[in-house]
Amino acid sequence: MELGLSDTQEMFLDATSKLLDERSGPGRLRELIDDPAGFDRTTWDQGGQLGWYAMFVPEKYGGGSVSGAAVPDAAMVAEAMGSRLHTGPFLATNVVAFALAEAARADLQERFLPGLADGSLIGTWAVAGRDGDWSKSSGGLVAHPDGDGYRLEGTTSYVHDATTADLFLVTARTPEGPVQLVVPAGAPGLTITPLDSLDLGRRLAEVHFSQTPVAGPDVVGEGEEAARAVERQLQVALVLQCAETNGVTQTALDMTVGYAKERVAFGRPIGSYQALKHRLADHLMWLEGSFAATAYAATSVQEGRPDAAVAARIAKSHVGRWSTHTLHDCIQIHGGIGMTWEYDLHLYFRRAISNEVLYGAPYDHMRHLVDLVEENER
Amino acid sequence: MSDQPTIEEFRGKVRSWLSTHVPLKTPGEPFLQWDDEGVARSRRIQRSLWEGGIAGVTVPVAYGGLGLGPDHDRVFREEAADYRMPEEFGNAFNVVLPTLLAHGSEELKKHFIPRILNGDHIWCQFLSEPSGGSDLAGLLTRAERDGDTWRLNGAKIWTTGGNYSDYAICLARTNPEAPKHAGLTMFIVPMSDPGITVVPLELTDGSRDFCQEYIDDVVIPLDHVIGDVNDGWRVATTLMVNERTAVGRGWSLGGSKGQSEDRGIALDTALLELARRNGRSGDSYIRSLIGESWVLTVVQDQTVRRVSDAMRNGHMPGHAAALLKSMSGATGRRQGEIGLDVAGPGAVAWPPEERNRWGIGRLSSHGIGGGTTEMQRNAIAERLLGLPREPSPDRELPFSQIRKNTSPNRK
Ligand SMILES: Cc1cc2nc3c(=O)[nH]c(=O)nc-3n(C[C@H](O)[C@H](O)[C@H](O)COP(=O)(O)OP(=O)(O)OC[C@H]3O[C@@H](n4cnc5c(N)ncnc54)[C@H](O)[C@@H]3O)c2cc1C
Repeated sequence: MELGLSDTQEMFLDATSKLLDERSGPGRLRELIDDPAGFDRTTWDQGGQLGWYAMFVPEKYGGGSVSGAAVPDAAMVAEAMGSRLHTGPFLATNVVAFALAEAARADLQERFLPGLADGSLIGTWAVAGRDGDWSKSSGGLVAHPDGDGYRLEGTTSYVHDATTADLFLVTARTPEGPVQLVVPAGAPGLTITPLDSLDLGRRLAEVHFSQTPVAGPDVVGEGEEAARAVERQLQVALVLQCAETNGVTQTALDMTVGYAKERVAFGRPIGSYQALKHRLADHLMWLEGSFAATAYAATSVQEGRPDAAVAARIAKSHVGRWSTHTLHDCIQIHGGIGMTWEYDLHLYFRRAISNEVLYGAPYDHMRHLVDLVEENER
Repeated sequence: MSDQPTIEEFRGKVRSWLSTHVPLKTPGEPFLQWDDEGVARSRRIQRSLWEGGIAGVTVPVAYGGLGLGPDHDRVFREEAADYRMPEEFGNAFNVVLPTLLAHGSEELKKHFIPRILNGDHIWCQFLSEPSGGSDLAGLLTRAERDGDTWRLNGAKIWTTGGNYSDYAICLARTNPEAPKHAGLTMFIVPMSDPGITVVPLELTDGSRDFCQEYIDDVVIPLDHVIGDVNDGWRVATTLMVNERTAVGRGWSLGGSKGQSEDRGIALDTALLELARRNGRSGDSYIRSLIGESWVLTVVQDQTVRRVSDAMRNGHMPGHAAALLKSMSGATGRRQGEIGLDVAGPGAVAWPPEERNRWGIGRLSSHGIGGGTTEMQRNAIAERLLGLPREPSPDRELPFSQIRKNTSPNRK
């Protein structure tokens, strides 16, 4: 739940919620289960008109965000999407827009940012290898220097919306450290293997590169600079992911509290039994913590504060851990109906579990906090 | 007000006064020191804050405070994080002062608030009784009208700082024939009254500020009532909201390292250093636990900030304070476990010259004082989530007709 929004943010959120209420939701997700793209292009385009993909893009390329602070604005949209189980490459496209706007040279920005901003181009972000480690900015790819550019070799995994993406922002390893490169869809040697996904609305894939040439003008960043850029992209991705998860958790908890008020056992509503009330109270408590940690991280990442890396990981550690815990109990409190395919709760649970693990699981990030403190001591 | 200092001016003033007049915290010192020396020192420190013009940041000027807002208050806390604060005034500042401001008469506010700010009056809370603490509205201590005064009789227990306090804020029954919530009144009781007998009790950690009091015919003037007669439950609700919020914040009158706006999130490395001393800092399980402990501390701070702001701006009801209190109960318990896991056997046996702070954490009551975690969960479930109460017979009947504990819970 967002507190203290400005009037313009309020209007933007209203328009966003209205569109999502009309075009998204668990019923729509069910219709998309067997759809290879997994999202609805019309809704995607309408979101583009509202400015869903323009937030990280500078004004001269058709971008802008309502409050001028892109991370909190985008987090607000992500939360609204989570509460309706919206699908599609919102997060991935925004992270790519953020990356290109922040790091890339003017010619790259001119080529891609206007299209990303209005939704005519879909971007995706490929960092992790098959080991599912988003923290090393090296991925599962190797980039061999070749003229003024590189040749890519290897596999990157858990890539969102790879089959619909128009461009890939990939991170690869070189002897001189990481590089980030833009690879257009259909590049020579690029093949995609879709993965089955626990979240029925999420499209994840392995992307293989074999002797894929990347020309000099498509190099986004190299070495230390690229490593720092990947870290900032991860921070943005974590904040948006946490916000989405919070929307999921809030909706599932609302459903469950509503059910507990209606469902009767032994002559009174099940929600009057303290054994259930106390658990629901704890879920609300941890969820307030999730909102607080996510909002703090959004501001910190937006402003590039020194504590941004810590704040984003704290948010993910907390949100990831307690969202799944809560969703599990939501099903328990529903009893048998909660276990059925027809009842929507599992769709929320699937998204919560998926978000818990993607971009690093809570305990990975908790350990990483210790790494960060030790690095600072040096 | 136009003559308010800017945030930066105020920060400078606080910083320079603290650095020249207030001692720094010493590592490992206890949070509270309820003995002659500790209490005298805290009175001196509070007096010094008053003389330096930095006491009572958000208290209105009319009652001796600075009349500034929450941002100035945050700055004070940030600057005070490294200094010894007069924590024995915790009840006075965290509980009594906001309750007086909300419900006290003009005369009471003008008399009592400046005497907290200048270090004269330490306060304690007379709420819990031998017959029960959770069911506060079921208390037995009674006050009867006697001409132009009230006459108070009964017993209170678990009173933090009862043996060093000047005044108590005391909830008592004034109408036993009304339903239990409707027959209570909040009084101001002078601890120096000969009718009050204070008996210190020892806590599991060895401290002796926890007291039981016998109250025999204590006479209280009519105007030493906070709020209206028989409207004490409303006053107690304000009191509890403030108490829960303060517990959630960590109770301190200053700040903690993790709460600084200036420096961002600061992670306390004590656990990491402990792991290094034990040669376990490379163990990935131990590293997870250290990170988890940081996450708990920081999220607690962030939640306190979010929920306190929301309560102040009317985005959340006062009952939301129960979220903060119950979170600190959960966080404290888990951090006790983590501390023990990281410390290992060193937490349960140690050389006499060292202080053990890891195993002892498991003995402390993170979820009892200020209302148990269970009671916080009841409040969250019923007041915030709107879940129905369990059926219970005691809310509507006259208090005199309901079942209650009449004997103390100790022999
Ligand atoms: C460190 C510390 C400082 C304190 N300081 C003060 C002070 O300064 N002034 C003061 O007045 N009091 C103080 N207290 C007392 C404290 O407020 C009470 O101990 C507390 O409210 C519980 O009351 P009780 O001890 O009578 O336990 P009981 O009320 O008898 O409760 C016993 C158990 O039953 C549970 N329980 C009771 N009712 C319910 C219910 N409806 N639903 C579910 N579970 C329930 C409780 O959670 C608890 O686990 C302090 C306590 C501590 C530990």
